[in-house]
Amino acid sequence: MRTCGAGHDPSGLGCHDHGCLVYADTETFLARGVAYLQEGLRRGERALYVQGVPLAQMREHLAGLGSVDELLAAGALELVSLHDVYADGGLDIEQQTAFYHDAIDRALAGGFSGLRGLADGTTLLAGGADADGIARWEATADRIMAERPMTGMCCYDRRVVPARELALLGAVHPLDCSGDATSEFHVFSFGRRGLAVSGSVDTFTAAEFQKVLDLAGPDQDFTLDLSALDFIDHAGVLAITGRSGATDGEPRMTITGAPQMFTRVAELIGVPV
Amino acid sequence: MTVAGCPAGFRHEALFYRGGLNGFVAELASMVSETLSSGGSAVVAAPTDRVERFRGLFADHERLTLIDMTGLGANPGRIIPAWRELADTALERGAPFLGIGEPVWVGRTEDELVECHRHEALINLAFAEDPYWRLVCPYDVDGLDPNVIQDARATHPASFDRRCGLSEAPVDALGVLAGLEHPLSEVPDHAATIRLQPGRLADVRDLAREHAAVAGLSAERAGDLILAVTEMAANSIRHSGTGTLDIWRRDGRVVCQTRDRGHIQDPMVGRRRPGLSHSSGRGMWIIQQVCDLVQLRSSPGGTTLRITVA
Repeated sequence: MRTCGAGHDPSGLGCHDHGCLVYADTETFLARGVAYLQEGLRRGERALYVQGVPLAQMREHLAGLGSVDELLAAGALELVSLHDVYADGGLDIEQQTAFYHDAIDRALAGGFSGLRGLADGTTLLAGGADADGIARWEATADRIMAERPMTGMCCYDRRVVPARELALLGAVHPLDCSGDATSEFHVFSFGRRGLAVSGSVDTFTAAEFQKVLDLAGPDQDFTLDLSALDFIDHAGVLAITGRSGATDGEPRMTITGAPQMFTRVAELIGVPV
Repeated sequence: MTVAGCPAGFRHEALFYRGGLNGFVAELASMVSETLSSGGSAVVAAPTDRVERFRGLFADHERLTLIDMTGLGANPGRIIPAWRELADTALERGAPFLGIGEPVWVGRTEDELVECHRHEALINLAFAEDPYWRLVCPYDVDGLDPNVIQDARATHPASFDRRCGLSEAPVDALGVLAGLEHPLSEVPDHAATIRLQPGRLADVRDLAREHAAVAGLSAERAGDLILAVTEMAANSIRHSGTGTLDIWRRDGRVVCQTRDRGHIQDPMVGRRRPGLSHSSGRGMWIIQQVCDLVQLRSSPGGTTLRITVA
């Protein structure tokens, strides 16, 4: 299982990890972001910083890393404006996927062990991109990180992004690096063409969970690994079994690793698993 | 359709026996034997020693099902849906069906006896529309308190006692149920209390998890407790907007109670298996299925639901 759950220290993130950091002040964001990138430099990864501010300001942000000029010259650090990756605040999943694959390829060709991305997506939401679209993109990015030598931490400013949208964005990351958990459950890529769920799903989160499954679900048949679930009630079970029973050309979902609680609840309410 | 020679409709009978285990067998073995030899099927759901004796007498008769009532009926709220399924399966065959159910045994606590009394009253409502079958409820007259026997007379339209013979009297099931609405015992001072609010069930689960650990519940029972407590809290919030949850331990068991301003009017709540198309009723069904005792008191003034998990 990939590393998943809440309360993770960003500097502890390793290859294939994908965390979400919700911050309430820029100092916190910078302190955690710099610690996270520092760990990547220590591991021999290329650091990539994507942010919606001018390049000069991005350099200032990373002053804590040491000499930004030297890191840039050595290729250990790349600064990319958010607007160069994400077309005019909009989302082009195909183009963004190509960008990150290319960035990973270049890092490996440059002799680095992988790519470590720090991206602040706040400007995307402020620019009018909808949270559902970003969540769908995050799920795609998560697959890249699950399959390729990449680590990612996506940051959102609590002062700008509404709580409901933060919960949705937190839910599509395997790791929650914020102090307060943004979402009680996480849906992320795992295994060949598969997804996994961690955390808890109950009556009050089941509808959101079903939505996240729809947003994150691959467009072909896939498996849903439940072995990292902490808790699920009947509403959560129905959200899953309702989805796996989907017909009319939708991709089929097969459940694996169901914990005892899941099978117990499914049996109790008479839902075939 | 009525089977020729059989009275129409469901029959709920109490059988008062003496002589403990041997008396139970003496009264009921011939009844089961007759049913089986006439091509019918029978179910004996009784405490362990009674079931074992029948296993010895009837070997593995294919039309006799034996059920340990101390498991199925530990929570009396689980018994009616079990009879519903057993009767449906048997009635499909078109041959006579005899059920023997002993939900009340010596050693039941006062709280359990109240819920057994409620269960016996509800049996009359649950199977009122059924075609003919017979449910005989044996009561151990030597071991049980006379008040319990008196209660049984009030919930069975027919009672048989070898000394007094058969007596029949109509049952006022709703009247019996109304008489059971007395309040539950006080919540102890050491109980932990949470004010229930939408979307904050994680706190409730954490509290249940702690109590399960201190009480020493098995991993499986701890999971059941957390599930039941989540469903209770969700019901309170969904039907009443808010509520209070208290949780405490008693004799190695965990007891949890929710109080809210909702009113549950269906006396059979949680005692019908929810269909796949039903959108509600699953919460109380799950609570009844996983708990060792469920005590529900509901009136226009509010609802108190108390569960026990061991």
